[in-house]
Amino acid sequence: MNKSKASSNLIYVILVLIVLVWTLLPIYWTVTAAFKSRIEVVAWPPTFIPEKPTLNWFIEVWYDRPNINYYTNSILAMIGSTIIALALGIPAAYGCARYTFKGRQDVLFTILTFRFLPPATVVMPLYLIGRTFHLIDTTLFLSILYGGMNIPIITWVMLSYFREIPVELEESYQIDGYTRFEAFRRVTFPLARPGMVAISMLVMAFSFGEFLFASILTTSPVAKTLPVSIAEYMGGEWGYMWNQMAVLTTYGLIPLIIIFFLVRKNLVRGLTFGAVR
Amino acid sequence: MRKLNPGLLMSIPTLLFLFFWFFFPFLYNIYASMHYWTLYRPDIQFIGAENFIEVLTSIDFRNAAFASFFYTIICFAVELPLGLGIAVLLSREFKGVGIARVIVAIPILMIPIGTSIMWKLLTMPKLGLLQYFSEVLGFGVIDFYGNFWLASLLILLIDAWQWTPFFAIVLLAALVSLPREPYEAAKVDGASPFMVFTKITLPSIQPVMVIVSILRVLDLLKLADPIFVVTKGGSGTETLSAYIWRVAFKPLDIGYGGAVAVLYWILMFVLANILVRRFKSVIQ
Repeated sequence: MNKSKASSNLIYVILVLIVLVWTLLPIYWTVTAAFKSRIEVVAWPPTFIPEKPTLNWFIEVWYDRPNINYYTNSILAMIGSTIIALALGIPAAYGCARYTFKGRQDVLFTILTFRFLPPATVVMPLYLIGRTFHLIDTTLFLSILYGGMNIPIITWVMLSYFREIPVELEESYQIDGYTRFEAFRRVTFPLARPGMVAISMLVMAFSFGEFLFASILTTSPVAKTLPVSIAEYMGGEWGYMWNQMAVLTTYGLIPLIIIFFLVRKNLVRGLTFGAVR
Repeated sequence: MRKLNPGLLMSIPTLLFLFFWFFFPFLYNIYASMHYWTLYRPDIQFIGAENFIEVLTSIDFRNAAFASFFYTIICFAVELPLGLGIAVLLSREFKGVGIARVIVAIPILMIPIGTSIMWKLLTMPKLGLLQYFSEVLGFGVIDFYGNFWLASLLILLIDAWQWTPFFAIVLLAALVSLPREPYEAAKVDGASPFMVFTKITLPSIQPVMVIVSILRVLDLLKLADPIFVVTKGGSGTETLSAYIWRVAFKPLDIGYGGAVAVLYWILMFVLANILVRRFKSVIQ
């Protein structure tokens, strides 16, 4: 009994280790490539530990191209799109969770099915529309589009949260003289917050890393984003500039990891899409 | 005047927003697709269904549609079971489980383009770490960039690396929030661990599994980022999104690109509706 338990524990530990190595190896390779020299990054056989680690690239990427702008633009588009997606997704979710009206199902499913939309199919018309409204090469345009792409997922998740919070809770507050909005702010919103935080983190990750829209709808340091900049280090007269791409990918991981740590506590309750009962 | 229902009132701005930014462009595409229209030339010429005929008879379009579906199926078939397995693995309590759960989630936070490029660095012949392992083990050079099946394997690896964690953390969150009572009852009844898993655990996390699967499948059908940087559409790996990019945006051919976009859009719309309506009862 004890022996089989020990061996099953060993298998268990080995499996966990495999998962961790599989996950960490590409990340380790990215981070170490950022510390290697231009020669060493393409050396054969590859070196596991950088022989002469250098911080050169970590500084150079801020000077060789306007990456500081691209980085800021990515963060702004990430924040802007999350605000837009929450501002439009939450009222729809709340409205559909709390009120019954004719066509409610259709409203919900119409919103949800927008999640299918491939950016590639609308990017050309959006380019022409953006040109007309002078939105090309603006962070606002990216925020609007990323926000829109993420409204369905926010509505979907928040809807199931709002449904689980009994309406009586709000009503008891209204009896005490609060308005419906106040009741929402004081009761429902705090209860639904884990879900909102968790889903916002996913939305942020999606927006921060988006490539297709950004690569076509932004053209200059005014709005171009980090993923586009990373892709631009590929090819060209210098060939693949692995070090720069590795550094920027590493830099790109930092804000999201910080956010991830800040919201960690909400994830377990928040990521179940309110669908565990 | 009849008073609008407040619930509907709250949904209208959202609907208008989505329709304006994402449905209006579709109508624009329908108009464009019926014309000979490139941004290089000022004249636009009505040509009816010609673009559509050209798209539907093009081998590249069919290949791209095949690639999109093929990658959706293989990636989903790998990521869901693997994600579930990892979730079960990490749902146990042991020393260091907290940090393991954090590590497993990191790939989701990587910029997808950066992920793809770093996998390229790992797999380039005479340069990448995986090629080095392969050489040490005696397999020689793996031709990831010249062979459809190996190129597809690489795309599967990249997508699975980045998005299996999505299944894993969501299902993990579901597993750890399950109520304990049914498990205690099963223990009293002497049910085997396998029985407990299939009869109690799976049914209770099924709604979450369905939601996360639909999200993932819809995203997989839009797969483009790894194609752009890793294979550049070579070896038959070009998906529909990458195909539109090549035939429409690079030559600025609004008409032909519009026709591809309309067909792709309709395909996705129908699929999304089937998926969402099929699992309506589970989701709600």
